[in-house]
Amino acid sequence: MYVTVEVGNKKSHMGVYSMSKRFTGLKILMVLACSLALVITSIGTAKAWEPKMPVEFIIPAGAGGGADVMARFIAPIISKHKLSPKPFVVINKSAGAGAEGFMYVKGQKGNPHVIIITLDNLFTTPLATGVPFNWRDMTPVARLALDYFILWVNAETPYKTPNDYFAEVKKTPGKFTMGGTGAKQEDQIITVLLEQQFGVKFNYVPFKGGGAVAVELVGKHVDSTVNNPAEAVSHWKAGRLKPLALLDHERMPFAGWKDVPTMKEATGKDISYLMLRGIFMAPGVKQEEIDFYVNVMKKVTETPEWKKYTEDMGLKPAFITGAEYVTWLEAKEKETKELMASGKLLK
Amino acid sequence: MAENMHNLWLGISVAMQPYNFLVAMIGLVLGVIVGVLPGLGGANGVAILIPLTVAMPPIAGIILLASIYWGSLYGGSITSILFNIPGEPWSVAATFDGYPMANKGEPGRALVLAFVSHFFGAVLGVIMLSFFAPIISEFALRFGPAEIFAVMMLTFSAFVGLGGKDAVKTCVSIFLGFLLASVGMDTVTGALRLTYGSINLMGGFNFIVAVIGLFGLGEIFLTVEEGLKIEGKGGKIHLKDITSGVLEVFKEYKALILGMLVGCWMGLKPGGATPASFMAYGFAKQGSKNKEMFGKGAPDGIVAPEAAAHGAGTSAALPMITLGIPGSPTMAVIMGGLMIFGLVPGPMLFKEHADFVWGFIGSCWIGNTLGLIVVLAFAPIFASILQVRFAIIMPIIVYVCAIGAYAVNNRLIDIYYMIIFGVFGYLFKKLDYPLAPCVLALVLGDMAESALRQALLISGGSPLVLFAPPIALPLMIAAIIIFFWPSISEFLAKRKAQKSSVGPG
Amino acid sequence: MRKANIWLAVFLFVLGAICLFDAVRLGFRWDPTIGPGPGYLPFYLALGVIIGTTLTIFKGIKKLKAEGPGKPLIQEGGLKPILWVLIPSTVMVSLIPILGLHVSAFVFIVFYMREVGKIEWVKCFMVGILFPVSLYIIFDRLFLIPLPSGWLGSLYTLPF
Repeated sequence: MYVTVEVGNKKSHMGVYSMSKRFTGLKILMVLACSLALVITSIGTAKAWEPKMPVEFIIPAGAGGGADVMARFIAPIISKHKLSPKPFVVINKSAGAGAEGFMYVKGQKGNPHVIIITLDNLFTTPLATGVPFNWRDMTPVARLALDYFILWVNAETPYKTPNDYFAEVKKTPGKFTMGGTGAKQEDQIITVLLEQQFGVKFNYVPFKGGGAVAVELVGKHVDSTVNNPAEAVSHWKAGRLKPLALLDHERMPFAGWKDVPTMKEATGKDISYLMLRGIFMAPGVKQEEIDFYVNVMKKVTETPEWKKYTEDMGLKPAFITGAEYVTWLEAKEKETKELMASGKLLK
Repeated sequence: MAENMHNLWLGISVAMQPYNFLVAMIGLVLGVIVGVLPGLGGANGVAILIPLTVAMPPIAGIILLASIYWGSLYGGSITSILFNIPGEPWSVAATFDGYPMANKGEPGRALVLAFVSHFFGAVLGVIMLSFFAPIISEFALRFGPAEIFAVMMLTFSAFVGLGGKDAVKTCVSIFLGFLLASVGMDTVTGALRLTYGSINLMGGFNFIVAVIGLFGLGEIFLTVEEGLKIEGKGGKIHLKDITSGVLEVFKEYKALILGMLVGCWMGLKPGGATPASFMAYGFAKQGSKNKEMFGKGAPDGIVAPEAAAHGAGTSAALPMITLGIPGSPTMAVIMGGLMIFGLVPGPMLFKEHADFVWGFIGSCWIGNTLGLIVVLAFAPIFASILQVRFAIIMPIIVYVCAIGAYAVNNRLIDIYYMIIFGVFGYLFKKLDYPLAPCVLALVLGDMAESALRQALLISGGSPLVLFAPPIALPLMIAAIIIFFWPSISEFLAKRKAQKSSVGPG
Repeated sequence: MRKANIWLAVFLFVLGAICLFDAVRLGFRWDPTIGPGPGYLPFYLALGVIIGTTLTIFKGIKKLKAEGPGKPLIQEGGLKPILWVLIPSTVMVSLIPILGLHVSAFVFIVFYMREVGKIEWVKCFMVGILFPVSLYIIFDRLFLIPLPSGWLGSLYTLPF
């Protein structure tokens, strides 16, 4: 916009003043100063930074998973509510437990048209594989929500509380199986956390997706899981699974979930593990560019669609940004690292 | 049952509403395009269109997504048959006999055979979905890692007869396929295998990229070397050819029923369509009277794998709807779409959203029937592609393959891999390394290995778990018998010959 | 043909050896409690490749000595058409990071149709423009899969 103004001004001024040659140099300077002022004012008055081309929305996970569903849910909300002049194009880069996506964003230094949605593999992938990457290599934008974890067992088992179950597990260390998604990722870390806190030993069996893990539990191929609420809710309602305890300080705020006790209520041990659903940008971007995405994401979380979505999926609404987000990330990274170290999951 | 019939009728009438019908039509045409273009599979196609469906009513949205899927199932075999380039993993088996038949100048016949078999596979799948979903989902629940491993073994044993002349080279080819499959991150331990610190290798070798190169480009090199051009082979298709194609499918009823059953059974477990098509092909060959025709354009070699592929693709909807486990990558994405609509798949979906589920089932009937009509209507156009001059079609094929290889993972490196695989496809074919076992190992290797190791983890290292009754044991026994069947049947034949020579003489 | 057979086997042998190396690093033991380790299958597969290719190499050399090199790998007059496919394709693929996928495909299609097919320029350009444009619309626009655009970057977007 302001570029054309600038060019137009220069031309007209040049035409007028070109007659008096003596003052040409000075005049040109003045003209330049004028146009510069125009440029500055036009920046000031024009809207803040906006994307000039379609935004690549990277998912460091495969199609069909939790992060994928969320990104593909956010992208249409942005266009439906006209939050961005250019569309958000969703792209999966899932290789190496997301390492491909992270390395890609890390390499896009200064490019304001790339954002990435992350889950806990932001911390676990580099720690487990030794890929040269850290979340500080990207620019934090916002935390959108947190995902709960619940300890599930098959409904036909006699256990009523986590203590009942852990007491059985203690009798035969390493015999009871804990099914989970992937190796050296959040489910295995939670297993380590439970083992530490309750002095038990599980036999952790990794599978490819959260939905599949829940079904292995329904089919009694594993003894327990720590599925996210959305992955197991349908089997619970059908009477095939039962939740023993929620891994957070307070109960879930949604109607159907209020009956699930927290670990503290059930066992006296206040254990919490929540998974990040957040947004990052490439490194080296300008503050005004960050502000744009923060603003977009904030507006997304305020839409009625998002509210319904978080309730359906059992996500904890937890929008934070800026320094608060960074502090949280630092604490989360430390926690993850310690748990992985004690579970011997570090590379 | 009566209640199901009633619900089904309601569902079909929902699917037949003009708006939904139109949406299904659009979805099918898009799906066929998605299926034809290699690399742009049903999963991509559906994932990309999910944002569009958010503005639609849920039932229309799901009809659109499902129709893309049916279309891509139909469309996947078209390039397999015409150019030896499988558009989807489960249409690899269609190249084995479909391409030779097209090469002999009968692309229309091959296409019609494939499409009609697809339809019959779908019919059985949809019948299962409509009437037996709850019972069958109980059965599917009993499949743990050990049972899946047994199924994989059965698939491999069904394929044992498909090696080349040189047994050593066949083994090398299989091993290479498995090795390629193990590049990247190990599911069970999270360790990076055979990556040598390279981010590019971390993603492993995608099956589609390998197959486009090995089969597609390799075949182009072979063709140009022999001076033959892929042109002028496509005859015109008349209405008569379509009816005779339908009749021919009925003539191959054994292969058809085999394919339908194998497909619908295999589709119940994740990743079932590809092994189903291979397994059906292997069984059809072993059970066929004209074994020597296989690989040279045998009609039953097209019918069995195609019916199985579509059957498995259809029955994959069953565990998705009833259990929330997607039976195929595309189903995984459709499931994501359902969640966006606020419908959580699983046992409660039938109860809480019956209208929606039955609308979906109704659209399965309508979508697959419409799909058959659409692809049959397009068949003459597809077949006539082969009449275009080679100098025009060749660069376009390479171009489309490059797009396909890129679109699988949005990676440029995959296009380079494709060219390298092409050179190896040519060398392997020339030097008698059979490609089919290599490809089978590549596509199933990861799944088989994970299942084996998960089973052993659960059992605490005891291999007995692999032979656990009641499901794994019979499957493993069947696998072993079928593995040795060629030698057993030879032995039996010899004895019979001895007896008959001793007997009356 | 027989020489090529040996060379391919040697190449695969080396490939097997590289894999074996990594499998040993990963640990190829069969753990009594957890079953095979991550390197278990790759180890035996690589070993199988090495043994298989060794056998092929020895058989090949024996045969080469006894019966001479045999037919050439590529039949007479076959090499030229193969290279006419392989080299332009490779050039096209290596142009992608610079020109983008669609533009390099345009160059490739026009070149091949003109040079190999001896087709008139008008037709070459028609096909060369029609296909990239329609595939651009299908992929980049309809399905929102951004294909590589190379250095042309955002210039690449068509005005619709």
